[in-house]
Amino acid sequence: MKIKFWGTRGSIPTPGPKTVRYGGNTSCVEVKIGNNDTIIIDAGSGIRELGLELMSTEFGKGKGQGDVLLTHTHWDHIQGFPFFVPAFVPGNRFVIYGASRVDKRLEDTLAGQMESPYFPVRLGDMRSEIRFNEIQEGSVQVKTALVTAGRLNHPGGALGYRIESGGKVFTYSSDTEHPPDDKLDENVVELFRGADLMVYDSQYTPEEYLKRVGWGHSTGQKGAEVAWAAGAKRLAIFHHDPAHGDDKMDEIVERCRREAREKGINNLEIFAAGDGLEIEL
Amino acid sequence: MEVKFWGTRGSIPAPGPETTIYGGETICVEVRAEGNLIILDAGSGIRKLGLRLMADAATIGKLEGHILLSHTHWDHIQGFPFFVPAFVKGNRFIVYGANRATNSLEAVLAGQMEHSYFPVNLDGMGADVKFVELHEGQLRIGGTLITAKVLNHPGGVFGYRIESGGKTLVYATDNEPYRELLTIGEIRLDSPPPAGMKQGDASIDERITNYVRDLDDRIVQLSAGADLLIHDAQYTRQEYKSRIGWGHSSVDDVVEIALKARVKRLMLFHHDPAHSDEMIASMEAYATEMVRNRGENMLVSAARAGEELTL
Repeated sequence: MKIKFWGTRGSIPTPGPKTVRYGGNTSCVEVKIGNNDTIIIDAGSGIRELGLELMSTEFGKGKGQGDVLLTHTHWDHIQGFPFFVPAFVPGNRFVIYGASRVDKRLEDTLAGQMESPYFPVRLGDMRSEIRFNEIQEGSVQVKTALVTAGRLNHPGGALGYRIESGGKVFTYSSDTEHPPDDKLDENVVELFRGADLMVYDSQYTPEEYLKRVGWGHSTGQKGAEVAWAAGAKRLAIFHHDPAHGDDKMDEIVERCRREAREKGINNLEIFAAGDGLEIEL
Repeated sequence: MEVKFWGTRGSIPAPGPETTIYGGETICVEVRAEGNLIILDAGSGIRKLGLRLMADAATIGKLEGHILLSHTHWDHIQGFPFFVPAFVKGNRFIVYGANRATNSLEAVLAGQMEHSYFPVNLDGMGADVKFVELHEGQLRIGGTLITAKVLNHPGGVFGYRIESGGKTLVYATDNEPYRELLTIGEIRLDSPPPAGMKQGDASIDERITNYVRDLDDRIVQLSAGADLLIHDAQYTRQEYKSRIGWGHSSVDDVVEIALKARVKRLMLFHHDPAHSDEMIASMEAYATEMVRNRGENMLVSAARAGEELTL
């Protein structure tokens, strides 16, 4: 399984010289499983650049088939989709997975982003075949991968994903808040059990978090505790706060590693994902 | 008049090492005119403007600002939910935009903050935020005269002429000449003929040409004699050929407009997300060369991230 991070920033893209190392595109991760199949998680602004790269593959010829897993539909997880060029190429086929909601269809939420007066091109103008698959928690087979969706703790709701393929496990929870006191979210621990690589919402430092309780995000420190409880091997700090420049991110990683060691959390590799980072599991 | 560029990129923010000079934040320009704070558009660049405003402790809770929106495509409003001063009680903002037939300007901004898309509602903003819908015409903000004129972009767009203290700034982001749109050297059958003409009218060619020229004259009139014209120059002439009707201009067209309007300075703006700093620098050089070849001395440059100037 090959993972490539195309967007690791939370909330809003952050261009500028202070974010050139870790990147400024909002959430998008590409997962390559067997048979060269592509699963894309989230469609933040990073999906635009992923799309440009895909154009030099069979997606550029209208022979591509891709699956997109959306954790939720806040802007930083869907804003890149109108700029995803492969979706405009006739012949390509996409299935977009997301949480089923009582009040609104996933397709309508995505279409709402692409209508006047917000955007000059409509979802219906995308000439590829796009199907929407609304899911609840549970497992679904996506090509050669078993994808399990689990409930996260985020305003409006969000899904976390576990992708198992070729004996490897990749897990992703970009937007989730940990419970109070010293408890861990059992949904997340279960979903992440035995992960070779887990991507966890580490938007805030512990001090920043104290002023943002209820906002739906967590810390790298909590990520390490979840990783420990779940027996995960590697933790990718993710969904970086717009206020955190590259130097701050270095500090955050150092501190998370040190504090994990101090808590006796061993054999856990901790790093911060950056745009462009590729990892083979 | 002081001008500062907080967001110069069009379409979608473009982070990365290749956009650090000309900028990756989407559209936002800060103007200070006779003590008034006028913010042109609310793309992602408005977030950083907001942080700067919050750093001035003396004005917290006492800030007044006027936000003029050219239109409400994402790259011109997406920063608004992240504009911290709008969350501070006591601050007052007026957001101006085009009057629309279908839903109100307020509803459009509120729609961006609806709970499927964003965890905070528009009415969760603590400041006093009012919405004023404009038709073409003039308004005054203190001693500053603002003229709003409809320009050419899918869904509509306003260009703004801002006159203050004897200086004139014209802001025309997201504008495309009508020329290619209505006729590429031949009559386009999918456009209705202008009023007073029928299909098959023998003089239709000449009348369409005149009609289009009048439309294209609007930006020239709006910009006449300006000290600074900030104009959308998203494409090279080559790129524009396959993007006719998208509502943006080529560098060539923009230089022509600026020369015709006799502006003193032209700033190329709304940079394409695919254009690196190197690419934009070459477009800037191209524009400069064009001006020089005409024997003119209009200043031309591509707007840079964080650039400040005083008119």
